[in-house]
Amino acid sequence: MAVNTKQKGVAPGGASLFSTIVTYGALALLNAVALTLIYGLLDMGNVPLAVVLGIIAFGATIIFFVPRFYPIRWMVPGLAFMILLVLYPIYFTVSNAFTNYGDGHLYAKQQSINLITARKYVPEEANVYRWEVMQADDGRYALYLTREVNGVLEAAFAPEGESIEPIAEPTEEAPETYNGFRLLTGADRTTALGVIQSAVFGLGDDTVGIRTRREAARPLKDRFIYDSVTDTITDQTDGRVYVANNEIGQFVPQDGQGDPLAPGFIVNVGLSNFTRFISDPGLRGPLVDIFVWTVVFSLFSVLSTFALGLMMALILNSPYIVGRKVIQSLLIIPYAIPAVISIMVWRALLNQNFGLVNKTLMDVGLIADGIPFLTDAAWAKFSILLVNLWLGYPYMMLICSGALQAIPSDVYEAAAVDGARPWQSFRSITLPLLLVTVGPLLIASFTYNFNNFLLIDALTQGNPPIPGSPVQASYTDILISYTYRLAFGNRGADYGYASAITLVIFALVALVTVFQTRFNNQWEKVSDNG
Amino acid sequence: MISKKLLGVFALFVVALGSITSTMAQSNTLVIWADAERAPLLVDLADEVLADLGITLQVVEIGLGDARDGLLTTGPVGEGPDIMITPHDTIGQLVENGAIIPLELDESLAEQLSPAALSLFSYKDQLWGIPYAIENVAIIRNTDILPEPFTTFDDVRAKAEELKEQGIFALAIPTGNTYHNFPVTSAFGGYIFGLNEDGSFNIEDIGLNSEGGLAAAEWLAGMYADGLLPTDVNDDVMFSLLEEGRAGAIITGPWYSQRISETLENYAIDPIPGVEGVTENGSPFSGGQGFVISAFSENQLLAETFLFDYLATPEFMQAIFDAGGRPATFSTVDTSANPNVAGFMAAGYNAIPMPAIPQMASVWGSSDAALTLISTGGDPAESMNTAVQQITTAIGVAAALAASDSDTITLVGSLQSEAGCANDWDPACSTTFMTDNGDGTYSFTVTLPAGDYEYKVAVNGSWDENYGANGEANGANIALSLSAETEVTFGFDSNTKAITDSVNN
Repeated sequence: MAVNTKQKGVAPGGASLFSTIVTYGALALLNAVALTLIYGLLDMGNVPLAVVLGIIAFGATIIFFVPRFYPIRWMVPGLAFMILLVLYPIYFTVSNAFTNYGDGHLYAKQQSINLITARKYVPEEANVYRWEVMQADDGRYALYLTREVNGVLEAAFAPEGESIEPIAEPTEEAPETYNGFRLLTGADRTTALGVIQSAVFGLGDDTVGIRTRREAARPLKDRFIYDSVTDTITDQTDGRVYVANNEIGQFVPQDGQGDPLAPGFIVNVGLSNFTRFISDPGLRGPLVDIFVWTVVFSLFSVLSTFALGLMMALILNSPYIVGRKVIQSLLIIPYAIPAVISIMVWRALLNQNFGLVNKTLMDVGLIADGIPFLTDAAWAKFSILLVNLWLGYPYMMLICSGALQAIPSDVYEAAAVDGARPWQSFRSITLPLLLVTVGPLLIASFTYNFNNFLLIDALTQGNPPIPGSPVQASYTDILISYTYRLAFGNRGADYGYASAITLVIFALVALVTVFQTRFNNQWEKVSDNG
Repeated sequence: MISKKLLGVFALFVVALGSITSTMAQSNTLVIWADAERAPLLVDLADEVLADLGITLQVVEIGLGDARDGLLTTGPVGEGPDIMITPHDTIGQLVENGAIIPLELDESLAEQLSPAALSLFSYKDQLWGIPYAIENVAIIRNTDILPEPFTTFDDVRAKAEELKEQGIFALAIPTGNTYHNFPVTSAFGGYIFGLNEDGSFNIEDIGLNSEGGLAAAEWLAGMYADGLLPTDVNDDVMFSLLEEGRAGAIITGPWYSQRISETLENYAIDPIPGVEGVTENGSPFSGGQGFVISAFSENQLLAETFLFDYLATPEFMQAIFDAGGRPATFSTVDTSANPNVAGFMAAGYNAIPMPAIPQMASVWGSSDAALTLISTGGDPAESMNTAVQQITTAIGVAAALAASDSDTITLVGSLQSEAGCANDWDPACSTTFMTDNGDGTYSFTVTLPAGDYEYKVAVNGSWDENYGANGEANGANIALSLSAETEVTFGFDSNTKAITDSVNN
């Protein structure tokens, strides 16, 4: 019997009144928040993020109101987060790679101009006063100004938007009231401070501006004036002109002498981040060695963790083992502890002179001096692989455990009937069928380890250094830790450069992954055939 | 029909909620970012400030190391603080990004603050922050093991040799850590950046491989090689050694003041030893922490008022000292409660401000790497030369130097890889750049293992201009045979183009 969807209080699909209210309430909240944020973002000039939020809010609403899209309503949160947290950052990274966004170029041009032109200066001929703020009943503010000239106290009164009058009988302290204005103290004064810092007191050419909490200058002038026609900024103190260089994103002195104005601004630099990466002396350095080690490290990590994990899974698969569940729980521990903490503990354990591993080996008499686990090139690589094995095998053990269950036992029986020995049945039955399921996970593990910045950085922290390298590099550096240092380690944060490097690494990893996926497909074919 | 009504209700919902979220009252709020130690003090201040001035203080806890990046990220979008606590070495970068405003001190306040502290927060002739703490490392000596302080670094070595028989290290320094090893460098006359006449830093003059810098590197290398300095040491290892009585002295700073008191019963805090004929005492780096005002703040005047009327006051400064125990910058602060402070301040009498210029970021990594290499047996001169080369490349000075008038002369040949270059026959490898002696001659000294080598000389980093045997342009390679590991000095006369080496000539 079809549900009458035109019934009062029932949404398409026959939901109850309560769930309808909750749904519409949530949608209303989403739209309200999105609208507020979009308004704020457009105000700041961030159009792409505003567009993304608009798409999410609009999309979510459409899905709920248009019957045709209603079935995919359960995917709304997932889709929303995917767009916001995956697609948008990808777009952001790609667009950054073509800009010089980074230290010294953190803002859009208009923001830079605003920051520069906000600076004030006191012209030579200006008078400097101490000030106090007063307020009239209609809310206008005024400044009570005092200064000493040749030992004589002078005072003046400067209301907002009215001419400045000298005060006949000046007092050092501002009076309680003057001409209908009363002196502000406490919370009223605090409120006033927020307003008057940019207010204009006085009229026409004779104005007073507040410079610091003690001083006001008459007049206080803008130090930098921006001319949008010539795209230049002129320094009023010395008349120097700075021209906007839209290729490098800075206002540079017209006469070529001296420093450009700080801060600079973000500009599109086209492919120069990529060409810079290619011509960076860091690339003439040990990059090939680092790339080779990255591949070796990832490959070896995957293979060793898979081998150990599979072995554990096979052993624990047998129902004859006593306390199977307990052992399994204990073996998962490396996976459960946060990696950062485990790695730091390992670093302490592997300390050459005072680490537990070396101390034990020395006490037992196996070695005389501590092994330089983290300071010798070869030992450091070994330590990295060892720690990664320790961290990674529980994951493999878990997935192999699950995948092993999926292999039907009658296949093994058939093999036994045919006279296959255990190793043969493992190689010809278990492994291929396992790899069908686990294959993609191995590829994922390879990809993850290719960019395993955390392990390298936390365990060896850029040691042991490669002597004579043009750019600081470590024997244990993988591509991502090495390029991270190129982008962030030396010149301050260079996000544009880092984004370009990210794209290059992504291309590399994508290439390798596509390659591996082809292999995986071949396993699929094997399993289909037999 | 129904859906239209529902749509109407829905639209009302949106408008109502939207208007609620949009109207955020512009109250008199000041947002302050402070680290975990200082934040509680500011929270205590909040009630007083609310009563007196009607300011609502919003204290946000943020780590010292995160303050700079936080301001640069959140400031431009209006989510940043009005006032922030930051270490002084972020100042250069913050100013270059226009993120903070300059401050002016009244005379009375300037009198209370030490000039050393103020210089930490000065950049390009202006003051950008109010420091509340200034710190430097010193020698912490276990007086049970070492009754007398070290006089010179020769003295350190002598005592290390004595104590080695008992299995005790006379001195332990965090390995591969430039900040803690700098006192050694400065004692031998080394430095990081040289100074121009006007007191600003000359980023083209890097002193890690100057005469003093190399002497310090040699001393360290010798100590490590003879097992007199422990290797692979970090702060925790250092304090373990101290606790177990296996170290006579360590180098650390006032941030561990409490840990020192807990670890040792009888100890003294000494200044850094010097080097005979060079310095009386080595100079540690001085660093500081202080308050800055954000240039993105919409309430700068209020922030300034609050900073000077409530934070930069003797009372609040005393409260900060009582809570943290870091040497204070205000002369009015009574530091008698923490006797360690006097020791650290005495050791810092000649402290050199840690440069706050943005180029410092390039220094730490490469210098740390060089020190690590030295601790594991690397050649001190090569390691330091590499570090300087890496730093100049990173700063981009290399390009500037290449554009200048003076030529660069490279020793090229099959010996370059043994000398520390990545490749042989590479005229661009600056590790084998010959030093300009100023009179038209160049020299280069390096220790090479036994073997047969060939070499010549290239000018300005390419093969375009090169000289070989008999001073001939594009001449033949010069042969060099070493029967054992030898220190060889190569010479080149840019006038006669004659090439010499201490083995053949």
